[in-house]
Amino acid sequence: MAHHTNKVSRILGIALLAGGAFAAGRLVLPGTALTPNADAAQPEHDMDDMGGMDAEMAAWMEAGTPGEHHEHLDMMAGSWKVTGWFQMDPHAPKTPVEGTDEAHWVLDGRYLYSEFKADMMGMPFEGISYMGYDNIKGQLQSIWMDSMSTGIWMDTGSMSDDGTKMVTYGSMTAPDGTVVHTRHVFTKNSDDQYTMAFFEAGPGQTDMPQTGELVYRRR
Amino acid sequence: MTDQQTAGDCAAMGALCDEHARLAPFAGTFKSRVTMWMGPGEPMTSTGTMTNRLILGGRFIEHDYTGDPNLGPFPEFAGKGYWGYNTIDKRYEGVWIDSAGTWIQFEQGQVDATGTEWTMLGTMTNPETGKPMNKRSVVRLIDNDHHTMEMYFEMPEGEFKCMEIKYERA
Repeated sequence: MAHHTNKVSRILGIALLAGGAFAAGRLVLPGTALTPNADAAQPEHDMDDMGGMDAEMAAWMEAGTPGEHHEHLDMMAGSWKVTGWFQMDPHAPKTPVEGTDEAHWVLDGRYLYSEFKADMMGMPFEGISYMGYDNIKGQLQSIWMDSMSTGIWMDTGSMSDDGTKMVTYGSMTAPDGTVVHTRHVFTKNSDDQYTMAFFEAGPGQTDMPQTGELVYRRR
Repeated sequence: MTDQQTAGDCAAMGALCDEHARLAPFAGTFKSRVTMWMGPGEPMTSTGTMTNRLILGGRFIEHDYTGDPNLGPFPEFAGKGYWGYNTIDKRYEGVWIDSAGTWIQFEQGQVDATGTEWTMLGTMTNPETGKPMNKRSVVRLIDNDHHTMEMYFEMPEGEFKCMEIKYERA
């Protein structure tokens, strides 16, 4: 006997799986089949049968699987010596930065985790980040936390087709309440080096001056 | 070692305050019992272990979840998350990633007057419409050894409770 599936409940269930929980069994629920939304991530809805997953669920499983964009992120995996500079504004002196970065894949190659350690103005500084690529949104995503602030900074962006250049955008609130917009540009220099450039714009600024640069050399 | 400061110093970038101390009872290893509702009918249940630890000088709880092996579509489910209090934006913030997807989820919220119930808000893309769907997570601290998390989705027909997790200190 074929089972009709309630598409919204099924998709909700699959979305839930990516939302922090998991199912104990096959998702087969009574209901009516609805016309699928025209979306590149979802193929035509097929009737479920007694045997395996239908094409829709297979598409969702594929969306949850790392792909070529994750391969491009691999350029940042490994052990790195990091040198660079930061400046509060274009007229301020450049503060040198020296440190290390250790990056490895977690959750079966889905996210690149890294730990950054450096000396910032004579004080030890630690930061952790995750880089990922959301296959459903088609979006590069990153989060950052560090020992000198209390926010979880999430940025989003994209990468070039060949993966040698990546850009993320974000915003943060400065202690005085103003919103600062950020742009981070990652450039692959070689298999053993990449560069991260930081740009920031405050309120009323039409351009984003460069406020820092870090060069990662494989060690 | 944590960098505890007085409430008056909380405006300083990076300083810890009382809101961070509220996260301390969540640190440790907890057995988890998960119930998921996908629609009308019986919910699905599963178990796992959640290990939480305070990191970066006590600024964030790091969640590390390993689901017990199961017969579902994700037999070896695992997830990681972070939870902290942003002293500049004055809100709790959380992120979550897991082995079932490739996206990073961000939530922000507040704790209630009792200091034991958090409401965290986020969005998830509704695959039917392609539009963001509001998501609400309620975390309740029962005592030092127990807490719960309930998740709700906002659907066109109303709010729908999709998940509940009971945590008990192992």
